[in-house]
Amino acid sequence: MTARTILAGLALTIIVWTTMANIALAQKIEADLTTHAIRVETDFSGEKVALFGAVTGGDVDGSNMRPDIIIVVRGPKETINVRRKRRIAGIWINADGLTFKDVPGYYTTLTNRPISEIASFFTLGELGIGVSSVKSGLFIASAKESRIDSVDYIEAIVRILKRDKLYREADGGITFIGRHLFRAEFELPATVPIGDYEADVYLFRNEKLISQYTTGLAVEKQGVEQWIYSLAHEQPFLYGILSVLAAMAAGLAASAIFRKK
Amino acid sequence: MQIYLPIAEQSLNVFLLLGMGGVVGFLSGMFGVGGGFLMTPLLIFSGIPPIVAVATEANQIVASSVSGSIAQWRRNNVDVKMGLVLLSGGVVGSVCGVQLVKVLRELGQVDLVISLSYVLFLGIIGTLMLIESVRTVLKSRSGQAVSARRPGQHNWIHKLPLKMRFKRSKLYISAIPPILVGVLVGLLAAIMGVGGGFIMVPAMIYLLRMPTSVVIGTSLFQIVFVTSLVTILHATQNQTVDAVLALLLMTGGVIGAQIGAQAGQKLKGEQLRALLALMVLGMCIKICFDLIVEPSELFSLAKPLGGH
Repeated sequence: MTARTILAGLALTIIVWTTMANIALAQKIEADLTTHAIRVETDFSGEKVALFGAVTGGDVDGSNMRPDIIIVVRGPKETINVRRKRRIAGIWINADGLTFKDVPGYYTTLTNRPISEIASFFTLGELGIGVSSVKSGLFIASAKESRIDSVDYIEAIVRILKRDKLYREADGGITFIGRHLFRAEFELPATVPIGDYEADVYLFRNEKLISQYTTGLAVEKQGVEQWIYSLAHEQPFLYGILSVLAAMAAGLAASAIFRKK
Repeated sequence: MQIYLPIAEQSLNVFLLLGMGGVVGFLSGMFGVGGGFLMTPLLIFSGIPPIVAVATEANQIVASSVSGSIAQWRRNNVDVKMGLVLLSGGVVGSVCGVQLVKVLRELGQVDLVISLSYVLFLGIIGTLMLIESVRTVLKSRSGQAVSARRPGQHNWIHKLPLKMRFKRSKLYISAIPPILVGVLVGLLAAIMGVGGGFIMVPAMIYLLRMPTSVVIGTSLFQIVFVTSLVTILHATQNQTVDAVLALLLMTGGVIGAQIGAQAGQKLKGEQLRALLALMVLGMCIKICFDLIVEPSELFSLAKPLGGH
C-alpha cells in the first residue's frame, strides 16, 4: 500500500464522513394532504382538510430541540373592489372605492408554537408568511394609486375575509405525534373561492428556514354545480332560455297536477 | 340539510328556502298577489346578494304566473291585444332596467337602488292595503254594504293620440297609457324582481278603466313574458340567475299557493289582509333601518363582473 493510496483512502473517508454528517444535519420536511381535490357539489357546506407530515433526518447537532413548522395555505388570487360607506343625506351609501388585484382569496397560517418565537418578523416577511406580509404586498401594489387611505382598505379586506373565515392567522394548529410526525387541519368554508390552492410547509430551526415542501390543492365545482355554473358563464343566453323553460315547465306541471284534484 | 347554490356561491338550508317559497306562495295564493315583492326582500335578508335575489325571483315568477295565466286563459279572461300593447312597453322597460342594474353594479350602487325602490314601494303598498282593510273592517262592522269604489272620469286619457280598439275590454283608448304602464312594470321587474301586478292591476282598473274580469288574466299574461325576458336579460348581462335557488323557491311556492288559495276561500280575508299589510310595512321598516343605522362594517368587498 503506497502512501498515495493511503492518502486517497483517507480523503474518501473524510468525504464520506462529512457527507453523512451533512445529510444528518440537513433535516428535511415532507408532507401531504388527505385530499388534493375539494369537490364543490350540491351538498357542499365547507370542508376540513388535514395535512400530515414528517421531519426526516436526525438531531445531529446534539441539541434536543424539536424543529418548528409553519404551514401556509394560499388560495387563488382575485381582483377585489373594496367600497367604503359614508352617511350621505341620512343613509349609508357606498361612497369611495379602491380596487386591488392579486388578493389571495384564501389565506391560512398554522404553526406549532407562537409564530413570533419561530422566526423574526423580517424573515417571515421575506418568505411571504403571515397575513401581515399579504398586507404589505397589497400596500406595495397600491402604492401607485398614492391614496392616503389605502391602508384602511387593506385592513378592511383582511378584517372581512377573517370574519368570513377565509383568512385565518392563529398560533398553533399543528400537533406533533411523537418526535417527527405532525398533523394539522384547516377549514375551507362554504364560500371558499374556486381555483388552485398551494400549501407550503416550512421547517425552521433556530429561526432559520432549513427546508420547505409544497403541495397543491384544487377546489373545483363538480357535477350539477359545475354544469350550471359553466353554462351560466359560458353560454349565458342558452342558460337564460333554459331557466325560463324550466320555470314554464314547472308552472305547467303545477297547474296540471292541481287541476286533476 | 344544506344546499350549495352555484350562482349565489354559498350554501343555505334547503328547508329554509322551501319554507320561504311555501309561506310566500301561501300568501300569494290567498290574496291573489304576486309573491315577488315579499320574496326578494326575504332572500336579501337571508344573505343572498340583492342582484342574485332580483334575477332569480324574476325566474320564479315565470313559473307562478304561467300556472295562473293558464287558469285565466281557460276562462277567457285575457285581453291579448291589451296584453301585447302592455308587453311592448314592458320590453323597453326591462331592457333599460337590466342595463341600469349592470351600470349600477359597476358603480357599486345596485344594492342601494334596490333597497330604496323597496322602501318606496313596500311603504306605499303597505299603507294603501292597511287603509283599505281597516276601512272595510269598519264598514262591515257598521253594517254598511261593502262596495267597490267607482272610478272617476279621466278625460285627459281620451284626448291622447294613437287610439286603439280593445274588443275584449270594450275600450277605445290611446295606446300611450298602457305602453307607459308597461315600461314602468318592465323597469320594476328588472330592478326589483317583481311581476308588477300591484302597479298594473290598479292602473288597469282606475287609469285604463278595463273591466275587472279581464284585469287579472291580462296582467298575468303580460307578467309571464316580461319576467321571462328579464330572466334571460339578467342571465346574459349580469349572470345572476341561480337556477337551483329558483327551483327550490318554485317548489315551495307552488305548494304554498295551492294551500293558500283553498284557505282563502274558507277564511275571512279582511283581518288577514291587514296582517299582510303590517308584514309589508314591517319589511319596509327593516330595509329603512338597515339604510339609516350605521352598519357594523363600513367596508364591503365585491368581485368585478367576469372576475373568475
